[in-house]
Amino acid sequence: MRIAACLAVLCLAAGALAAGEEHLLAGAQLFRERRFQEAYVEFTVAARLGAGGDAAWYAAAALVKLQRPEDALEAFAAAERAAPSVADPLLDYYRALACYDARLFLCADRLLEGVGDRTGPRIGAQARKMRADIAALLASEPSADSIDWYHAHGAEARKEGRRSLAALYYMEAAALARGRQDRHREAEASASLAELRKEIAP
Amino acid sequence: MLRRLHVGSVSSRWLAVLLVAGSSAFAARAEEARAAVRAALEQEATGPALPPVLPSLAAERAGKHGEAIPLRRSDVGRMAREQGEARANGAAAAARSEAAARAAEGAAASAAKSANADSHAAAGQARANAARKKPHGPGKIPAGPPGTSR
Repeated sequence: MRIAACLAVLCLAAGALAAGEEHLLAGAQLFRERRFQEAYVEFTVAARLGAGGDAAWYAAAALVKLQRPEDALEAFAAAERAAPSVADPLLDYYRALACYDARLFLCADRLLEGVGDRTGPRIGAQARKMRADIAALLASEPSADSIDWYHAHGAEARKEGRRSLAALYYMEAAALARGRQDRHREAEASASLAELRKEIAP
Repeated sequence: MLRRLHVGSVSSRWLAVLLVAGSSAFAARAEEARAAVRAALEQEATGPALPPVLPSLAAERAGKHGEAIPLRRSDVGRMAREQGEARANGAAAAARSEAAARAAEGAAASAAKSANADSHAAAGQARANAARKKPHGPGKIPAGPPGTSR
């Protein structure tokens, strides 16, 4: 009787996990077909069915392809909190693309630095090109107006309760300010960042 | 008493065998799923074609939203094709597509919540809904900061 109960529980658990893997497979196929919205749905379902921590990272990558970089950055942050060991150069490349699309170029550069050729020659070449472009952009002093843009977006994200996203904007603002003689609003960005870090990890 | 013990030990052995077989089959399936996703991610890992541009708050406040990062050449063709389709379908189709995408997400979320339900079938339904009313054209692109098209 006890064994039968054990078997039933195991079968149920295995069924749910197997369903999660099926959703991962379906998501992979849809992603290949560039049906990113549906792939995102499949990965999200797989994550909720407990198909490992990977599924949440894949869902975040799908958001990058859906041109939702801010949502993707938040999803990556959540996935990292839940399953930090899943991170790898390929996922870092997608995360870097999300940073790039959200105009967080220093954030993108930091991630791309770790990508290197570990994802293969094609992606490695893309990563190098992106890094070179970012280096060229930041070779000249950033304008105060640009730094203000990051402050404005950080404040907006914070107001909406998107703390990890807000932290990224303030981090970028602080780093860009260090590239200026007058360190435009660097202290303000660092203070906001410190407050956010306390809120994120009390 | 002895017989009961014997039956118990045979059943436990069977259970152990079943567990080992089941877990190895499951591990193989999980590995296959992850390999498939990684292959798809690698295939679609495109990069931006043009250099990055720092944003401008003044320009954004003036309504220009900064300088948009231009589209990749391959995506320009795709976007043009999708825009053509959207024009053909009309504005109503674009509005429906957004609703369909949301409905797909909602249906999938419900499927995930009820672990006892046939989640595969539910997501299949979600896929079917989304496929029937698949987003076409610019209407499917949600608002967000300017960025590259992939």
